[in-house]
Amino acid sequence: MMRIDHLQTFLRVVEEGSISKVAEEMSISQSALSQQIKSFEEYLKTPLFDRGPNGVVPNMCGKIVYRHAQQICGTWNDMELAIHEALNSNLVFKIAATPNIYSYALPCTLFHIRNRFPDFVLDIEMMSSQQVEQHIKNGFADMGFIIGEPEAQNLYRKKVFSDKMHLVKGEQNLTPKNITCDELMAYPLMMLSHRHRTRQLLDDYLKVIGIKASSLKILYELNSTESLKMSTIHGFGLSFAPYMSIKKELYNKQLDIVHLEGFELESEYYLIRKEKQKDKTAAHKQISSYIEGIVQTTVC
Amino acid sequence: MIRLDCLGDACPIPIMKLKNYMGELNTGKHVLLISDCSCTLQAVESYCLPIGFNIKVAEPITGVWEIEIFK
Repeated sequence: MMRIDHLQTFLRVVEEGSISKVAEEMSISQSALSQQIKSFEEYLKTPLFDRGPNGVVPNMCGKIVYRHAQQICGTWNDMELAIHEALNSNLVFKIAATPNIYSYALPCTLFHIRNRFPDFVLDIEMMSSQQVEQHIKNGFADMGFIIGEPEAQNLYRKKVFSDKMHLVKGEQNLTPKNITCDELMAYPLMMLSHRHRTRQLLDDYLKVIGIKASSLKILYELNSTESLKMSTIHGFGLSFAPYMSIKKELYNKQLDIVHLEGFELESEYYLIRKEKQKDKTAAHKQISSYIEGIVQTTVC
Repeated sequence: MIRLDCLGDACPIPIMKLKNYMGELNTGKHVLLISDCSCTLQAVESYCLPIGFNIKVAEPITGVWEIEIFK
């Protein structure tokens, strides 16, 4: 019967060019290794090496075997690695969250989870709300945090907190503290790009209060709240930002709130996961239930 | 008054920073810890009150706390 370790040994002999050297490295006798190679050759019904005074060199069949043995052993190693990862994934809890939630709301919650479940590794990925939903649906993450309700109907959802959206300006910006919706159209604005659900929800809300996004003087669109904040601090224009992301800058007087008449947008943030958790271990269910219990009181 | 800026710091960083000023607090100095994290106030209370320090709290803007700690 062929054994995978015989193939692995064969590879080593080819690479070292010496049976005695490999035998020494494996702490077995040279004759035992020679016998193993001979049995391998008998099994394949062909010699595999040209033997000379300076060691062994694979012959034509030996080179064929070497090529295939590399693939077989590579696949075997991949399999062992996959098994190892699968066994250890029991101790990994995967969370997918939008950048705003991850950066501004979840840090303390994560600290509490780590304290309560020290053996678990929290694997956290940042992505858009749409991607978070996909990750949960495809089983790539155990739990997700998104803005707005999930679009997929078959996901468990729980509203965990809400946060007010504000129009802000840099402290040196001369925009008045109070403006009307009509006046807003005269001021340069920076917005998040359309692919962010935060932007989509903002556009929907502006439409409700009678402001068409297309009539706004949008200088440019950016891909993160952080870059939006920086551009606003530098006085390039006004922007909309969730309150949780601007507390520090408001306190340090780098940003100031501009009161836009009739604008009262409260963003809602949801925890999502698969409705049924049949494929989850008891430990995963326990951590999941713990997070659902504490997240509302531990968000920053 | 020693100003300890913990804005943007999540648990347990504010408490770790505060521990660096125990010497000054023991000599009678006041520390003003500023945090925008809702857990920090509770963490400071849990840490400071049992060891005999006093705290005074103000919330100058929503979600930002100025916590004065003194002996």
